[in-house]
Amino acid sequence: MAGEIVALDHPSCKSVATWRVAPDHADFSMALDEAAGRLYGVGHARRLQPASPVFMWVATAGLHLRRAPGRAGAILHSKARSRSEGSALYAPPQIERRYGHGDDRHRHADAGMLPPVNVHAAALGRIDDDDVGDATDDE
Amino acid sequence: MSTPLSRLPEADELRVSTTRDLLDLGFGEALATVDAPSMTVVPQIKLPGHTEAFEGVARGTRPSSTY
Repeated sequence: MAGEIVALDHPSCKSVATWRVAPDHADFSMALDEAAGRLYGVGHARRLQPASPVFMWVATAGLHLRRAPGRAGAILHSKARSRSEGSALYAPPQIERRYGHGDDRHRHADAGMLPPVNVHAAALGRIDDDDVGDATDDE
Repeated sequence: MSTPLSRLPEADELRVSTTRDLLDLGFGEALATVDAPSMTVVPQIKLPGHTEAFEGVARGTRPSSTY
């Protein structure tokens, strides 16, 4: 959906959260492996095509995830565990290079990439709003 | 030989595979299988266009609809 990402509760279909996304929205997809307790996601920003690198995250169920604004949101990791233990996100270096140069459009596109993870995790009751914020103390 | 995920453009469709620890990934003009633990791409299937949606099924079954 251009402009917004809406999280819907299942099965009531009631909107539980909405995130604004830049017009150059990100295409993304998520897949929940219930047996393994993992949430996977993949996506890219339109503005970065055709050279856009893929980014992909893996959120282990039960982890508290939060974004790292200092890294333009490309990194998710667990609150309580080390990055190696949490393995919350696979983010190739190209992502950080592309989002780290101060272009507002890219920042907006990036902002559109992360919320789906948080939305989905929130819908599952596995993330708190307080966990979405500064993560620099864990770096 | 495996391919890093960073080499796949326009990746935006993802499904959990019917096989353990594998993901089905739509990107560019192809489908790929991703080894989830290592986050590397194993085989790829070339397609005539970009995938907007797909569904994986177990052998011998057929989906009643696609999404």
